[in-house]
Amino acid sequence: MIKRFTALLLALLLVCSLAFAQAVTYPENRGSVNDDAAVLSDATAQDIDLLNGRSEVGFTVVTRHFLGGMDAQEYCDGLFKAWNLGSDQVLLLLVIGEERYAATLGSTASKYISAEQLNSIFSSKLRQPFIQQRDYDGAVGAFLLETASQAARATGKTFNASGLFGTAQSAPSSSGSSSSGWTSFSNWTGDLWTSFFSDDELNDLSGQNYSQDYEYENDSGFSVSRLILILAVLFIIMRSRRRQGKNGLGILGWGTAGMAAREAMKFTHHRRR
Amino acid sequence: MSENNAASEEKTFVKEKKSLDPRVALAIMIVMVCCALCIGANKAWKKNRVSVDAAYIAWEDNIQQRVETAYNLLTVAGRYLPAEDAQLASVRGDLKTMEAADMTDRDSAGETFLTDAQALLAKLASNQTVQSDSRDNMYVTLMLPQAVEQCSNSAAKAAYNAAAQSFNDGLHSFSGLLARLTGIDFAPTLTVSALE
Repeated sequence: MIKRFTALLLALLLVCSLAFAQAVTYPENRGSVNDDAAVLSDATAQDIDLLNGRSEVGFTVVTRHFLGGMDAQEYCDGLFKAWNLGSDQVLLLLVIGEERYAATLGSTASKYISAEQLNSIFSSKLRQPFIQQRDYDGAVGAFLLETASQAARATGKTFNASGLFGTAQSAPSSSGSSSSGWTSFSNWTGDLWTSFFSDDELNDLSGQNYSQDYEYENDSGFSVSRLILILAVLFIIMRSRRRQGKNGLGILGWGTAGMAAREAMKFTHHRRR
Repeated sequence: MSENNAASEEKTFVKEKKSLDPRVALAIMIVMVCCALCIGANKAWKKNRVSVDAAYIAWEDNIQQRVETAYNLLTVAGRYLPAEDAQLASVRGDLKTMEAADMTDRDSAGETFLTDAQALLAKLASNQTVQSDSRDNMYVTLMLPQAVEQCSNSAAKAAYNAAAQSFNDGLHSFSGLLARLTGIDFAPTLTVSALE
């Protein structure tokens, strides 16, 4: 009876092992950073841990040299399931030797960040430093910061990115309510003007690493071209009102003046640093 | 009186109806014994086949390693060589056959892959563009040659061949003959090249 049972058990094990012979074996989860390709710096790994404490979504970053013919997105999805990551998690996979990347979002995280937004973040923040400059730290930093900002915007909460991935350390006294107001405004103007000045800014920033680019664009960055455009719009508004025989700036004028003032403040802040 | 006779005849008739011809009984018994022998042989040889199948899994893992290495090598080579390059095409052909169904074909493609991969790696290593790229130069001179070296281990194949040979030898016995009658086949053996 025991022999029969052992034989049956062996046969069952064999069938199971044959069935899973072709199944993918995933590495063990070693926390938020699984840098198997050894391309990320210790500082980036530390910043990812810090970011996880501040962001609405959690991040896990995986780097591999190759995937042996497997599709990156398929591998990333499989890894997300195998590691049983939570619904608020974002898993970023970078395949260094294949120059491919993929991300998988949990159900809660995907409510904050749509597929279109994720693709946009990939193309605007990750693709260039990852493939062209091979600045893996910069690529990961820029992607994570933008994704965390997007999640914060979606939830209406504040996100403090200061000190992470090379961004400027904000003054402790000004990191309260005013900073949250500025962040959303800055992001709005950033979205508004990026399409107009993207080429200029890229030229201006040539030679700098991507983490600095992020700071420049989103946090406390100053753009001369942006200031000139705002002043030009303000001038047109004032002239138009004068022709109509009206005094003052009007709602539109005051709004534009506010934007100009903000740019000027950025300028002084930039100069002080 | 006549009623008693009729009853005894009926009993005799019933008795005769229940009894079986001894020759038929013997035939049934022989058939049953044969069936028992065949079933027993089938079960026993299926159990013996487990060790061959276990060795097959190890060989399959080794081929899978070669498939993955081929993909990785083709990814790097594809950045520097045109698609019609002869060495690139050879590795691509090996990969295609290694992913095919036939075990013997896969095995021979796996063997050819090792030499084709080394030739392709040598070509890439001598390419100046590769040399100037620190990342890909590391892949071509360090990582991928190591991967090819690791999967060139023929121990899994030798173990499989030994298990298959032992199993096949056993199938020539009487019980093996019965097992073959019930659908147990010889295990395919893989050709061993002179280099191995």
